[in-house]
Amino acid sequence: MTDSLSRLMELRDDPFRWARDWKERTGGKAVGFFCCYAPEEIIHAAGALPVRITGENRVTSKSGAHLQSYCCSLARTSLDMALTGDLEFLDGTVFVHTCDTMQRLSDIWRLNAGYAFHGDVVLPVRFEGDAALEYMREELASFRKRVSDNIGPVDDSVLARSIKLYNRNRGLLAELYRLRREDPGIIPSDEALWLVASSALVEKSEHNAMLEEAIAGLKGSSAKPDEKVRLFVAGSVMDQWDFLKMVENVGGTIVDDDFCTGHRYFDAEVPLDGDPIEGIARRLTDRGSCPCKYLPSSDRASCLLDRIGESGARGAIFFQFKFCDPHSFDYPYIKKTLDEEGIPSLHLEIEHDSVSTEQLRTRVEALLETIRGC
Amino acid sequence: MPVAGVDIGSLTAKAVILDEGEIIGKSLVMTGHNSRIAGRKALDLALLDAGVEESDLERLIATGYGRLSADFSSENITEITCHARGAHATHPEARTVIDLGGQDSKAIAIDENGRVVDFVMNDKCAAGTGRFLEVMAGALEVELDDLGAISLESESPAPVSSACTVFAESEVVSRVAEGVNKVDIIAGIHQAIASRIYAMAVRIPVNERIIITGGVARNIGVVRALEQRFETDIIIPEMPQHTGALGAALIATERAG
Amino acid sequence: MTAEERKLYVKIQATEQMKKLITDYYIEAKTAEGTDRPVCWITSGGPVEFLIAMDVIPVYPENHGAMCGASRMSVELAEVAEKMGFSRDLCSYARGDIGSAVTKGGPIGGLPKPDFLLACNNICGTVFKWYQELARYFDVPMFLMDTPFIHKVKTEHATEYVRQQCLELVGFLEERTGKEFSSDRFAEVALLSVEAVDLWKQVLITAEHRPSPFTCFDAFIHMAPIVTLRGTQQVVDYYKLLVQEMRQRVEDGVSAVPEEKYRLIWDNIPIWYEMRNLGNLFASNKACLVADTYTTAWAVDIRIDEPLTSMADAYTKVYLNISIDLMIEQLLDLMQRYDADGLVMHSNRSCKPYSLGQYDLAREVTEKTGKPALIIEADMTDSRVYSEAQVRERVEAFIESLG
Repeated sequence: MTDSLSRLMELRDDPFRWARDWKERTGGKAVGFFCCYAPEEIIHAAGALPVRITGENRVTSKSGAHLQSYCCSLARTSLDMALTGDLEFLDGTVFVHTCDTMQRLSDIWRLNAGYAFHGDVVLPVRFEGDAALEYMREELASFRKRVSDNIGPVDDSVLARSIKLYNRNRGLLAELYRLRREDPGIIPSDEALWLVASSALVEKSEHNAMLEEAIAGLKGSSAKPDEKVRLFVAGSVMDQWDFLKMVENVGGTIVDDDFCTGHRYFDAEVPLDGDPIEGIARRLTDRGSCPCKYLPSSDRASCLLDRIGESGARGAIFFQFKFCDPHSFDYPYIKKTLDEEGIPSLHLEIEHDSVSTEQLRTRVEALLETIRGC
Repeated sequence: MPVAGVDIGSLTAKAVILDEGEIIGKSLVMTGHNSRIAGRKALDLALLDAGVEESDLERLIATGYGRLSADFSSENITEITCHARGAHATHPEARTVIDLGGQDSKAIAIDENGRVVDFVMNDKCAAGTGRFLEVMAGALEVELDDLGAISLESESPAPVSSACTVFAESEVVSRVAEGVNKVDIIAGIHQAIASRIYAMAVRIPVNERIIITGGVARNIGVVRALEQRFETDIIIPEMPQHTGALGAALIATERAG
Repeated sequence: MTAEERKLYVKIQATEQMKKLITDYYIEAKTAEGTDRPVCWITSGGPVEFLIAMDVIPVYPENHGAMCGASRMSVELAEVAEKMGFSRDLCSYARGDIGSAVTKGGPIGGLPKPDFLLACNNICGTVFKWYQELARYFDVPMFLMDTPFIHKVKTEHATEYVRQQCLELVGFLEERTGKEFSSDRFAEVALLSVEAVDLWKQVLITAEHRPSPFTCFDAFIHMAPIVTLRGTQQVVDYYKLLVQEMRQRVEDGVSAVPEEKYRLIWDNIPIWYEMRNLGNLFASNKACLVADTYTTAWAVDIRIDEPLTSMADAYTKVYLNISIDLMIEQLLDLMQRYDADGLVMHSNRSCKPYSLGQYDLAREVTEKTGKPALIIEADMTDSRVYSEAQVRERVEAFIESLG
């Protein structure tokens, strides 16, 4: 393992440590965000560090006074972290319009969490049509102005520079995935997905440097014989490292995914020709969408099917957080599509406050048995 | 003129006889599966204890889960109001009542007069109730009455994460099989209970002093774990299980007078 | 009805007329299937004026869902959807509707097949996903009217975006119907809509009187026409009738709840399958639910001089599309105008935009008014999560605390 790779892996024990250190080092501001549609480049260009919050495995204590239990644990545990002071290093947070729960969480957070800066980026739900794109550009421009007024100036050249750094990161992560699809043995599933997740916790230019070294090291490493069953996993946030390790332990390996903390995070690059805001907007719309977005020209099930085929995956796991409406609505039709193609799949529903890897193990093993044909 | 309050809970039925504001008789029986009979029995035993006939009673109020089945009283009041009043009577400095019964738990915010300001109930989940502790005692092969004291002996509680009593039980059994120290598991259970109670209670304004009522108040481990959570000392009344019946009897006194 | 219940129930005369109105409407909708009069399924917050103006029959799956709930048929329909793989945690209107679409189940033998769909996400994001499933199932086009959520302030570019979508909608409807959109006809419909909404507001205002001539349980029934047939003459005529009757009750001092002692505000969608029981529970405890946030939602302000822009504006600013600090103003207004003693909030598992934030709203209302709030946990049509004993306990304890 290269030095960079070890440094990145160590971060997993205390994900926000890097952000705290960075703040001390540079005196800069840290701005939290939740969704991979957040225009991070704008925050980065203002000299701040965008830090992704995806909840954590914990039993909540204070969030129950603000949120009913029938919303996802991403929202509940994130709020709990804020209310108990676990996110005191943040100087602000950005909420991008995602779903009903995040929409209300934004209000509750703004009224109770007490951070100096609160940015709402109300992106459209429609990702097609001139009116929607025009609105998206205006909303991004408005966000840029608010960041400029409250965090730091965001002029075109600085923004262009940030975009280049982000594109480089996206390219590197895409390369990592390519290498893994060719030879999953070079790095275990949990580490590969952590490399993506860590990108949203570390400043981009520093992450690029570490990632470059880590990938170079992986290329050079001898490939272990690949006997594991190739799997494709889809969902929203993937932050269950014990689960991923377990999948490998029982003989599976995740060769590709559709997670917003995985593939969707780095998918596509911002076009560099033209206005940077326009470019950011175009990247958001010109790529595979998530269930929260309305993009009638793109059929999510067939996109996933194509990617499953390309990755050589023999089965799929739907890894969903309980109470996630957008993903739950998509599930029946995607499952039907996979069934029609004869691709075995497994549906798992979890909550951050009560994960049981043992129970999940049995189900994953059963899927592998189905795939192997026993 | 004596009055009576009868609290018919899901696990136990209690009665209190008051005369001139003094408790002259009380009782506690298992409810079993017939609330009406249990309420009747509790009343009769309390009357016996007080040396008073039912016909001597000026007023009689029923409360609790089974209050509607009490055929000896036409008056019934919710246990929320009764617990508030009962807790206030024995401890006028109390502003938050945490009632941990056999099958449900509740937190009640009260004012300086013992009037209910706000309340929250948790009756979807057993964790934090007598039933949960019974199940755990069984799984760990320990006497229910010893659980609390044992929990205080641990120096590093083993976390129990399952939200559901049934799953928590299998989690505990697994821990025992793994060789985790029983004392630490018991402490972990008590911490889990305190977490759930705390998470429920913060939905109402929690002000000092906090008083705990209901059968689970007799478990010193739960009380200490809650004190840690709320960061304050918690009052344990002398007769925690009779708070509801006492409150009903006090309201009966008010209405009689 | 028992003698006890009869004492508590004062029948509204206009109900017969309303039932006829709604029955005729559903008959017309069901017999239109297969004819060249198009049927469009639309969300409750959708801009129905465009449909009426183009002579399209609007059908409301949510209104149908309420009917299924009231007839206690939602659960069996939802189970059909659940067997298809739709999570039980999804909105029960959606689950019931999908089940009804597939089996033609429900109290009226299911809804007529849509020719196209119109979803407006001002009420929630669920409708977009739900209608996407319907579009797939029926293989018909769908139009999504996207009204950006208002966090504190509505932006100009959001208004423009919605206005542009109104124009797009016109194009969509012209294509679907083969007819041309008439601005004159639209203005006519808009005018009728404004008139009906104004009359509905007048009805609701009569409940400010002490004692109130009707309870919100009555309002939940009598809102059906304003939701489903807004923009038609029949609806204007109907509410004229209802206003008259309510004003007469006020004059005669008729109290919906005998011995009205406590006046309460209701928040969230009704618990459709428990309307009668809840009505009796509150009434027998001398409590009248005098107003609510649900029926007041259909009080949309449209300016006739600028119908398109004001419509875009009105549909974006609905109660569920605004942040909590804006909702609180409306709640406080209701508490004050109706001289309420407390607030009853239905924490509805099916509706996140309406329910998440209630805890903060309840605390804020209590802080600002000194009046207490009660939270009841349930679901609008899925009776499996309803516990009568628990609700009764909470309601009674709450009323006891009002003193």
